[in-house]
Amino acid sequence: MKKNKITFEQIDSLFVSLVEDSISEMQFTTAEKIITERIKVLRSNIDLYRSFKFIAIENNLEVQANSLLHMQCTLQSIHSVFLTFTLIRQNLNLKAWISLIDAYEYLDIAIKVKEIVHTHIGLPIDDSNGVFEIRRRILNIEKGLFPSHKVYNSSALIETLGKCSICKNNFQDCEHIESNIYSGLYCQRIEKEILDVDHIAMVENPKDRRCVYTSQHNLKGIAVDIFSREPLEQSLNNNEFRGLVYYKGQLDIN
Amino acid sequence: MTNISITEIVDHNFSDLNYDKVIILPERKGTHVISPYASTALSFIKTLKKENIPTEFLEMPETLLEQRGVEWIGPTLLVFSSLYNSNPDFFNLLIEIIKNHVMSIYPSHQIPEVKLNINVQKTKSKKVTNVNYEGTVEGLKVLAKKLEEICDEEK
Repeated sequence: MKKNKITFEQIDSLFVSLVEDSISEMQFTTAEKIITERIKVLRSNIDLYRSFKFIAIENNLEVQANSLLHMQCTLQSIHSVFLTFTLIRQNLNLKAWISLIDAYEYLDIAIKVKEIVHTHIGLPIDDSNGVFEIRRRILNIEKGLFPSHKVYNSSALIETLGKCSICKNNFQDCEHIESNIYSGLYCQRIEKEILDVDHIAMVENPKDRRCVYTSQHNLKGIAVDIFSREPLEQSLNNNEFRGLVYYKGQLDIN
Repeated sequence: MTNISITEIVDHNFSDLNYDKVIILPERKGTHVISPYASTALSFIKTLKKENIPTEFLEMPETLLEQRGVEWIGPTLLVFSSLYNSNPDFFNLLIEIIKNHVMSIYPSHQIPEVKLNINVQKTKSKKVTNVNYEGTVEGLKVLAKKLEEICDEEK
Protein backbone atom coordinates (compact mmCIF):
# COMPACT_ATOMS: atom_id res chain seq x y z
CA MET A 1 0.00 0.00 0.00
CA LYS A 2 1.35 3.42 -0.94
CA LYS A 3 1.66 5.91 1.94
CA ASN A 4 1.07 9.61 1.28
CA LYS A 5 3.73 11.86 2.76
CA ILE A 6 2.92 15.26 4.21
CA THR A 7 5.55 17.99 4.36
CA PHE A 8 6.14 20.34 7.28
CA GLU A 9 5.00 23.27 5.10
CA GLN A 10 1.69 21.47 4.42
CA ILE A 11 1.23 20.81 8.15
CA ASP A 12 1.88 24.50 8.85
CA SER A 13 -0.58 25.57 6.16
CA LEU A 14 -3.29 23.24 7.55
CA PHE A 15 -2.64 24.66 11.02
CA VAL A 16 -3.10 28.26 9.83
CA SER A 17 -6.40 27.34 8.09
CA LEU A 18 -7.67 25.51 11.16
CA VAL A 19 -6.83 28.45 13.45
CA GLU A 20 -8.50 30.94 11.09
CA ASP A 21 -11.64 28.78 10.84
CA SER A 22 -11.78 28.31 14.59
CA ILE A 23 -11.22 31.98 15.40
CA SER A 24 -14.07 32.99 13.06
CA GLU A 25 -16.42 30.88 15.23
CA MET A 26 -14.86 31.86 18.58
CA GLN A 27 -17.77 33.91 19.91
CA PHE A 28 -20.31 33.13 22.62
CA THR A 29 -23.32 33.51 20.29
CA THR A 30 -22.13 30.69 18.04
CA ALA A 31 -24.68 27.85 17.97
CA GLU A 32 -24.08 25.03 20.45
CA LYS A 33 -24.11 22.51 17.57
CA ILE A 34 -21.22 24.35 15.89
CA ILE A 35 -19.31 24.72 19.17
CA THR A 36 -19.67 20.98 19.90
CA GLU A 37 -18.41 20.13 16.41
CA ARG A 38 -15.52 22.61 16.74
CA ILE A 39 -14.48 21.05 20.05
CA LYS A 40 -14.40 17.61 18.36
CA VAL A 41 -12.36 18.87 15.40
CA LEU A 42 -9.88 20.66 17.67
CA ARG A 43 -9.56 17.66 20.00
CA SER A 44 -8.66 15.32 17.14
CA ASN A 45 -6.24 17.86 15.65
CA ILE A 46 -4.50 18.36 19.01
CA ASP A 47 -3.80 14.61 19.05
CA LEU A 48 -2.69 14.75 15.41
CA TYR A 49 -0.26 17.65 15.94
CA ARG A 50 1.04 15.98 19.09
CA SER A 51 1.80 12.85 17.06
CA PHE A 52 3.51 14.94 14.34
CA LYS A 53 5.60 16.49 17.12
CA PHE A 54 6.74 13.08 18.38
CA ILE A 55 7.77 12.10 14.84
CA ALA A 56 9.88 15.29 14.67
CA ILE A 57 11.39 14.49 18.11
CA GLU A 58 12.24 10.94 17.00
CA ASN A 59 14.00 12.37 13.95
CA ASN A 60 15.95 14.96 16.02
CA LEU A 61 14.29 17.85 14.18
CA GLU A 62 14.36 20.36 17.04
CA VAL A 63 13.01 23.43 15.24
CA GLN A 64 10.12 21.46 13.73
CA ALA A 65 9.41 19.78 17.10
CA ASN A 66 9.23 23.20 18.76
CA SER A 67 7.04 24.59 15.96
CA LEU A 68 4.69 21.62 16.35
CA LEU A 69 4.56 22.19 20.13
CA HIS A 70 3.58 25.79 19.35
CA MET A 71 0.81 24.57 17.03
CA GLN A 72 -0.40 21.97 19.56
CA CYS A 73 -0.55 24.52 22.42
CA THR A 74 -2.29 27.13 20.24
CA LEU A 75 -4.97 24.57 19.32
CA GLN A 76 -5.26 23.54 23.00
CA SER A 77 -5.78 27.20 23.92
CA ILE A 78 -8.54 27.68 21.34
CA HIS A 79 -10.10 24.34 22.36
CA SER A 80 -10.18 25.56 25.98
CA VAL A 81 -12.05 28.72 24.90
CA PHE A 82 -14.74 26.67 23.11
CA LEU A 83 -14.96 24.43 26.17
CA THR A 84 -15.49 27.57 28.27
CA PHE A 85 -18.48 28.52 26.13
CA THR A 86 -20.12 25.13 26.43
CA LEU A 87 -19.46 24.89 30.19
CA ILE A 88 -21.13 28.27 30.78
CA ARG A 89 -24.19 27.03 28.89
CA GLN A 90 -24.29 24.03 31.23
CA ASN A 91 -24.14 26.40 34.25
CA LEU A 92 -20.73 24.98 35.19
CA ASN A 93 -19.29 28.43 35.70
CA LEU A 94 -16.28 27.64 37.88
CA LYS A 95 -15.22 24.90 35.44
CA ALA A 96 -15.70 27.41 32.62
CA TRP A 97 -13.45 29.91 34.43
CA ILE A 98 -10.80 27.21 34.95
CA SER A 99 -10.99 26.36 31.25
CA LEU A 100 -10.49 30.02 30.33
CA ILE A 101 -7.34 30.20 32.46
CA ASP A 102 -6.19 26.96 30.75
CA ALA A 103 -6.63 28.86 27.45
CA TYR A 104 -4.32 31.65 28.65
CA GLU A 105 -1.71 29.23 29.96
CA TYR A 106 -1.62 27.05 26.83
CA LEU A 107 -1.28 30.19 24.76
CA ASP A 108 1.52 31.55 26.95
CA ILE A 109 3.47 28.34 26.29
CA ALA A 110 2.66 28.66 22.57
CA ILE A 111 4.04 32.24 22.67
CA LYS A 112 7.16 31.14 24.55
CA VAL A 113 7.88 28.38 21.99
CA LYS A 114 7.18 30.76 19.12
CA GLU A 115 9.75 33.17 20.59
CA ILE A 116 12.32 30.35 20.78
CA VAL A 117 11.65 29.31 17.16
CA HIS A 118 11.83 32.91 15.93
CA THR A 119 15.02 33.61 17.90
CA HIS A 120 16.49 30.51 16.22
CA ILE A 121 15.67 31.85 12.75
CA GLY A 122 16.74 35.40 13.72
CA LEU A 123 13.32 37.04 13.42
CA PRO A 124 11.95 38.17 16.79
CA ILE A 125 8.14 38.27 17.04
CA ASP A 126 6.24 41.41 17.96
CA ASP A 127 2.77 42.34 19.22
CA SER A 128 1.27 42.06 15.73
CA ASN A 129 1.86 38.30 15.61
CA GLY A 130 -1.27 36.13 15.47
CA VAL A 131 -0.66 34.55 18.88
CA PHE A 132 -0.98 37.96 20.55
CA GLU A 133 -4.20 38.60 18.61
CA ILE A 134 -5.62 35.34 20.00
CA ARG A 135 -4.55 36.49 23.50
CA ARG A 136 -6.36 39.80 23.05
CA ARG A 137 -9.51 37.91 22.00
CA ILE A 138 -9.34 35.68 25.09
CA LEU A 139 -8.97 38.79 27.25
CA ASN A 140 -12.09 40.29 25.62
CA ILE A 141 -14.00 37.05 26.21
CA GLU A 142 -12.95 37.15 29.87
CA LYS A 143 -14.11 40.73 30.25
CA GLY A 144 -17.40 40.07 28.44
CA LEU A 145 -18.42 36.79 30.05
CA PHE A 146 -17.10 36.76 33.58
CA PRO A 147 -17.31 39.01 36.64
CA SER A 148 -14.07 40.77 37.51
CA HIS A 149 -12.10 39.25 40.36
CA LYS A 150 -10.23 41.84 42.39
CA VAL A 151 -8.61 39.39 44.78
CA TYR A 152 -7.64 35.75 44.56
CA ASN A 153 -6.47 33.00 46.88
CA SER A 154 -2.79 32.26 46.93
CA SER A 155 -1.68 29.26 48.94
CA ALA A 156 1.83 28.29 50.00
CA LEU A 157 2.19 24.53 50.17
CA ILE A 158 4.77 22.12 51.45
CA GLU A 159 5.19 19.41 48.84
CA THR A 160 7.43 16.58 47.73
CA LEU A 161 10.07 17.18 45.05
CA GLY A 162 8.20 15.33 42.29
CA LYS A 163 9.42 13.90 39.00
CA CYS A 164 10.46 15.40 35.69
CA SER A 165 7.79 15.31 32.97
CA ILE A 166 10.46 14.85 30.29
CA CYS A 167 12.74 12.08 31.56
CA LYS A 168 10.46 10.80 34.39
CA ASN A 169 13.43 10.77 36.81
CA ASN A 170 13.26 12.29 40.28
CA PHE A 171 13.34 16.02 39.61
CA GLN A 172 16.53 16.62 41.62
CA ASP A 173 18.38 13.94 39.64
CA CYS A 174 18.02 15.24 36.08
CA GLU A 175 19.26 18.32 34.24
CA HIS A 176 15.91 19.62 33.01
CA ILE A 177 14.72 23.03 34.17
CA GLU A 178 11.09 23.63 35.05
CA SER A 179 9.12 25.55 32.37
CA ASN A 180 11.93 25.28 29.81
CA ILE A 181 11.38 23.74 26.39
CA TYR A 182 13.46 20.77 25.22
CA SER A 183 12.96 19.92 21.56
CA GLY A 184 9.16 20.06 21.54
CA LEU A 185 8.73 19.03 25.18
CA TYR A 186 7.75 21.31 28.05
CA CYS A 187 9.36 20.59 31.41
CA GLN A 188 7.00 20.32 34.38
CA ARG A 189 7.52 18.99 37.88
CA ILE A 190 4.92 16.22 38.06
CA GLU A 191 3.69 13.70 40.64
CA LYS A 192 4.14 16.20 43.47
CA GLU A 193 2.45 15.25 46.73
CA ILE A 194 1.09 17.99 48.97
CA LEU A 195 2.19 17.41 52.55
CA ASP A 196 0.96 20.52 54.31
CA VAL A 197 -0.48 23.99 53.82
CA ASP A 198 1.93 26.68 55.02
CA HIS A 199 -0.47 29.60 54.63
CA ILE A 200 -3.21 31.00 52.42
CA ALA A 201 -3.13 34.65 51.41
CA MET A 202 -5.54 37.01 49.67
CA VAL A 203 -3.64 38.59 46.75
CA GLU A 204 -4.32 40.79 43.73
CA ASN A 205 -1.79 39.04 41.48
CA PRO A 206 -1.76 35.29 42.03
CA LYS A 207 0.27 32.71 40.14
CA ASP A 208 -2.95 30.78 39.48
CA ARG A 209 -5.98 32.92 38.59
CA ARG A 210 -8.17 29.81 38.81
CA CYS A 211 -8.18 30.31 42.59
CA VAL A 212 -11.10 32.74 42.87
CA TYR A 213 -13.65 33.49 45.56
CA THR A 214 -16.87 31.85 44.37
CA SER A 215 -19.23 33.60 46.80
CA GLN A 216 -20.06 37.22 47.46
CA HIS A 217 -22.64 39.02 49.59
CA ASN A 218 -25.13 40.97 47.51
CA LEU A 219 -26.48 44.41 48.46
CA LYS A 220 -29.08 42.74 50.73
CA GLY A 221 -26.30 40.89 52.54
CA ILE A 222 -27.28 37.49 51.11
CA ALA A 223 -24.45 35.15 50.11
CA VAL A 224 -24.70 34.48 46.38
CA ASP A 225 -22.70 32.55 43.80
CA ILE A 226 -20.27 35.06 42.25
CA PHE A 227 -20.98 33.79 38.73
CA SER A 228 -24.72 33.00 38.67
CA ARG A 229 -25.79 35.49 41.41
CA GLU A 230 -28.07 32.77 42.80
CA PRO A 231 -28.30 32.58 46.62
CA LEU A 232 -26.17 29.77 48.03
CA GLU A 233 -28.01 26.76 49.39
CA GLN A 234 -26.20 27.22 52.69
CA SER A 235 -26.13 30.83 53.94
CA LEU A 236 -22.84 32.42 55.01
CA ASN A 237 -22.03 35.03 57.66
CA ASN A 238 -20.77 38.41 56.44
CA ASN A 239 -17.17 37.43 57.12
CA GLU A 240 -17.43 34.01 55.45
CA PHE A 241 -16.59 33.29 51.83
CA ARG A 242 -16.29 30.32 49.55
CA GLY A 243 -13.50 29.91 47.06
CA LEU A 244 -10.96 27.71 45.38
CA VAL A 245 -7.69 27.76 47.34
CA TYR A 246 -5.69 25.37 45.21
CA TYR A 247 -6.12 23.76 41.79
CA LYS A 248 -4.30 20.45 41.46
CA GLY A 249 -4.77 19.95 37.72
CA GLN A 250 -1.87 20.44 35.30
CA LEU A 251 -1.86 21.33 31.63
CA ASP A 252 -1.75 18.33 29.29
CA ILE A 253 1.22 19.25 27.12
CA ASN A 254 3.73 16.46 26.45
CA MET B 1 9.72 49.45 41.81
CA THR B 2 12.96 48.11 43.23
CA ASN B 3 13.24 47.55 46.96
CA ILE B 4 16.43 46.42 48.69
CA SER B 5 16.58 45.96 52.46
CA ILE B 6 19.67 45.01 54.42
CA THR B 7 19.79 43.33 57.84
CA GLU B 8 22.70 42.06 59.92
CA ILE B 9 22.12 38.48 61.07
CA VAL B 10 23.55 38.12 64.57
CA ASP B 11 22.47 34.60 65.42
CA HIS B 12 23.74 32.23 62.73
CA ASN B 13 25.68 29.00 62.48
CA PHE B 14 27.22 29.37 59.04
CA SER B 15 30.80 29.85 60.30
CA ASP B 16 31.86 26.25 59.67
CA LEU B 17 30.67 26.13 56.08
CA ASN B 18 32.74 25.93 52.89
CA TYR B 19 34.10 29.24 51.60
CA ASP B 20 34.29 28.27 47.96
CA LYS B 21 30.67 27.57 47.21
CA VAL B 22 27.26 29.16 47.02
CA ILE B 23 25.03 27.44 49.57
CA ILE B 24 21.28 27.17 49.03
CA LEU B 25 19.48 27.45 52.36
CA PRO B 26 16.09 26.04 53.31
CA GLU B 27 13.14 28.34 53.96
CA ARG B 28 11.05 28.59 57.14
CA LYS B 29 13.73 26.91 59.23
CA GLY B 30 12.37 25.47 62.44
CA THR B 31 8.68 25.56 61.55
CA HIS B 32 8.58 22.10 60.02
CA VAL B 33 10.19 18.78 60.94
CA ILE B 34 12.02 18.85 57.61
CA SER B 35 12.83 22.40 56.46
CA PRO B 36 11.53 22.93 52.94
CA TYR B 37 13.46 24.68 50.19
CA ALA B 38 11.93 27.23 47.83
CA SER B 39 10.18 25.39 44.99
CA THR B 40 12.45 27.22 42.53
CA ALA B 41 15.59 25.79 44.20
CA LEU B 42 15.84 22.52 42.23
CA SER B 43 15.83 24.15 38.81
CA PHE B 44 17.98 27.05 39.96
CA ILE B 45 20.81 24.86 41.30
CA LYS B 46 20.87 23.06 37.91
CA THR B 47 21.37 26.41 36.17
CA LEU B 48 24.11 27.52 38.58
CA LYS B 49 26.00 24.24 38.15
CA LYS B 50 25.60 24.41 34.35
CA GLU B 51 27.17 27.89 34.51
CA ASN B 52 30.05 26.49 36.60
CA ILE B 53 29.09 28.27 39.81
CA PRO B 54 29.99 25.85 42.61
CA THR B 55 26.77 25.38 44.54
CA GLU B 56 25.39 23.01 47.15
CA PHE B 57 22.28 22.62 49.22
CA LEU B 58 22.87 23.06 52.96
CA GLU B 59 21.35 19.60 53.30
CA MET B 60 19.65 17.46 50.64
CA PRO B 61 16.12 18.75 50.08
CA GLU B 62 13.21 16.49 50.90
CA THR B 63 10.37 18.98 50.65
CA LEU B 64 9.67 22.23 48.82
CA LEU B 65 7.71 25.35 49.71
CA GLU B 66 5.57 26.20 46.70
CA GLN B 67 4.40 29.81 46.90
CA ARG B 68 1.62 30.64 44.48
CA GLY B 69 2.36 34.34 43.96
CA VAL B 70 2.96 35.76 40.51
CA GLU B 71 6.59 36.69 41.34
CA TRP B 72 9.62 34.47 40.86
CA ILE B 73 10.65 33.71 44.43
CA GLY B 74 14.22 32.51 44.39
CA PRO B 75 15.82 30.23 46.96
CA THR B 76 17.67 31.84 49.87
CA LEU B 77 21.38 31.90 49.13
CA LEU B 78 24.45 32.06 51.35
CA VAL B 79 27.42 33.57 49.53
CA PHE B 80 30.91 33.93 50.99
CA SER B 81 32.82 37.14 50.32
CA SER B 82 35.87 35.01 49.38
CA LEU B 83 34.10 34.18 46.10
CA TYR B 84 34.01 37.89 45.29
CA ASN B 85 37.54 38.51 46.59
CA SER B 86 38.94 35.89 44.22
CA ASN B 87 36.71 37.03 41.32
CA PRO B 88 35.63 40.70 41.43
CA ASP B 89 33.07 39.99 38.70
CA PHE B 90 31.39 37.24 40.74
CA PHE B 91 28.24 39.13 41.74
CA ASN B 92 27.69 40.53 38.24
CA LEU B 93 28.00 37.00 36.91
CA LEU B 94 25.63 35.58 39.55
CA ILE B 95 23.03 38.27 38.88
CA GLU B 96 23.28 37.76 35.11
CA ILE B 97 22.69 34.03 35.61
CA ILE B 98 19.64 34.74 37.82
CA LYS B 99 18.29 37.18 35.22
CA ASN B 100 18.75 34.74 32.32
CA HIS B 101 17.30 31.89 34.39
CA VAL B 102 14.10 33.85 35.14
CA MET B 103 13.82 35.06 31.53
CA SER B 104 14.15 31.50 30.23
CA ILE B 105 11.17 30.38 32.30
CA TYR B 106 8.55 32.90 31.18
CA PRO B 107 7.34 34.22 27.80
CA SER B 108 8.60 37.77 27.17
CA HIS B 109 5.25 39.46 27.89
CA GLN B 110 5.11 37.87 31.33
CA ILE B 111 8.54 38.32 32.92
CA PRO B 112 7.63 38.64 36.61
CA GLU B 113 9.18 40.57 39.46
CA VAL B 114 11.84 38.77 41.43
CA LYS B 115 12.06 38.17 45.18
CA LEU B 116 15.44 37.12 46.49
CA ASN B 117 17.22 36.70 49.80
CA ILE B 118 20.99 36.61 49.64
CA ASN B 119 23.05 36.21 52.80
CA VAL B 120 26.65 37.40 52.50
CA GLN B 121 29.20 36.09 54.97
CA LYS B 122 32.38 38.10 55.25
CA THR B 123 35.36 35.80 55.31
CA LYS B 124 37.40 37.51 58.05
CA SER B 125 34.79 38.74 60.51
CA LYS B 126 32.27 35.92 59.82
CA LYS B 127 29.57 38.58 59.95
CA VAL B 128 26.49 37.70 57.92
CA THR B 129 24.40 40.34 56.15
CA ASN B 130 21.01 39.53 54.66
CA VAL B 131 20.09 41.39 51.49
CA ASN B 132 16.45 41.17 50.50
CA TYR B 133 15.57 42.18 46.92
CA GLU B 134 12.15 42.75 45.43
CA GLY B 135 11.97 44.22 41.95
CA THR B 136 12.34 43.72 38.24
CA VAL B 137 14.96 41.57 36.51
CA GLU B 138 16.43 44.76 35.03
CA GLY B 139 16.86 46.17 38.55
CA LEU B 140 18.99 43.21 39.62
CA LYS B 141 22.20 45.02 38.62
CA VAL B 142 21.60 47.35 41.59
CA LEU B 143 21.60 44.26 43.78
CA ALA B 144 24.99 43.19 42.40
CA LYS B 145 26.40 46.60 43.29
CA LYS B 146 24.97 46.40 46.81
CA LEU B 147 26.48 42.94 47.38
CA GLU B 148 29.86 44.23 46.22
CA GLU B 149 29.64 47.18 48.62
CA ILE B 150 28.95 44.83 51.54
CA CYS B 151 32.02 42.74 50.72
CA ASP B 152 34.16 45.86 50.13
CA GLU B 153 33.49 47.05 53.69
CA GLU B 154 35.96 44.43 54.91
CA LYS B 155 38.79 45.46 52.57
